[in-house]
Amino acid sequence: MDTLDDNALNQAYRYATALAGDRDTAMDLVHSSYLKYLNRPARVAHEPIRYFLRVVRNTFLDQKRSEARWQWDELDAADGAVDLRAGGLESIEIHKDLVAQIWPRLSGPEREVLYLWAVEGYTMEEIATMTDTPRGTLLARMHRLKRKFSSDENKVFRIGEGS
Amino acid sequence: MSKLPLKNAINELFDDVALSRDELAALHRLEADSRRPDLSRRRLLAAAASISAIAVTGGVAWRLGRPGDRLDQVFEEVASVHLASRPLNFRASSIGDLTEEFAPQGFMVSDSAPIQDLSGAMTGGRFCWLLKQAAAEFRYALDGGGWATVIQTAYKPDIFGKIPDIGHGQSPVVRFIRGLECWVWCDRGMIYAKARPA
Repeated sequence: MDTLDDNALNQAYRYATALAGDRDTAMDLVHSSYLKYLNRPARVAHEPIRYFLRVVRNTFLDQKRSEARWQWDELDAADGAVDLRAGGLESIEIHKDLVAQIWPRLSGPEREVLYLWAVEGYTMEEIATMTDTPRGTLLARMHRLKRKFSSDENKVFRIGEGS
Repeated sequence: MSKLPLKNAINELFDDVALSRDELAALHRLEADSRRPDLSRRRLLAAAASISAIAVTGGVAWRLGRPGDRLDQVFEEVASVHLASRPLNFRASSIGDLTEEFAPQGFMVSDSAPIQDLSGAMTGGRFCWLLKQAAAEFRYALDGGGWATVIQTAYKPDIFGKIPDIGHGQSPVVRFIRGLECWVWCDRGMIYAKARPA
């Protein structure tokens, strides 16, 4: 049986926290997902952690679909034309406290792509594959995030008016 | 305070996001259950046997209204709740402690004699569901290792069917299911269930 070690479970927990936005929900999510993972019919040939992150994501989406309040495509559909040459998030420098302030106000899809990019170190292509999202959609999401983290828009967050 | 590249700032945000030792232990307990070698095979055989039994006795059972169905569901759900061992909402060491935690949510938790033979320490409680009825779940760490689960909620005969009432001198129903010993009984208007490793 492919079990996961503490490091892998913590990795999944961090991802679940990014998706769900709070730690209690994240723990429930990891728990339900690990039950599914352990009871899957076939062995995982390679990269069990990657497979498990996918189980976590699918479990989360199933829960959200049943609550009917998770609109993954809502933001992207409304985005219109985006200049994808406009540089990335790599160039942004920011205070850690400000990130902590902005983070809870981001949408689930935004937190997910940022987490996979910044913490897990995945490329856009890898994130697109993992999340079944077109690369263009992801880049548009990143572009929008860049705007949110830019200094002008940070002022909106600073005075607590949200996104 | 100086600025950081966004990537580093997000990384630092997750620096302290980690599972506690208890949470990791709860996840590893799930592995122990999945390791039971014949579990899935036994389930398949049990399912095949059930299908055969239904094929043979279906007509009779239909005419009799299949009175055991709801009790079967109760046992299935009790086993599922126990094996899932979901994170506790409250830490507690006694039913008295839990009474304070559950009371604000409209739950009046109480003790019942068959709970008292669990040899272990209560670790806490959480809310759960039993046949779609909100219920209180208690967990005990057993002295010999493993854990036990107690579930209780208001007894509604139309939901749960007929369950033996120990207050009327009846004995709890005991079944062995998914490697667990499960008990179900009624006491003073409440339905109780207890599950522990067989």
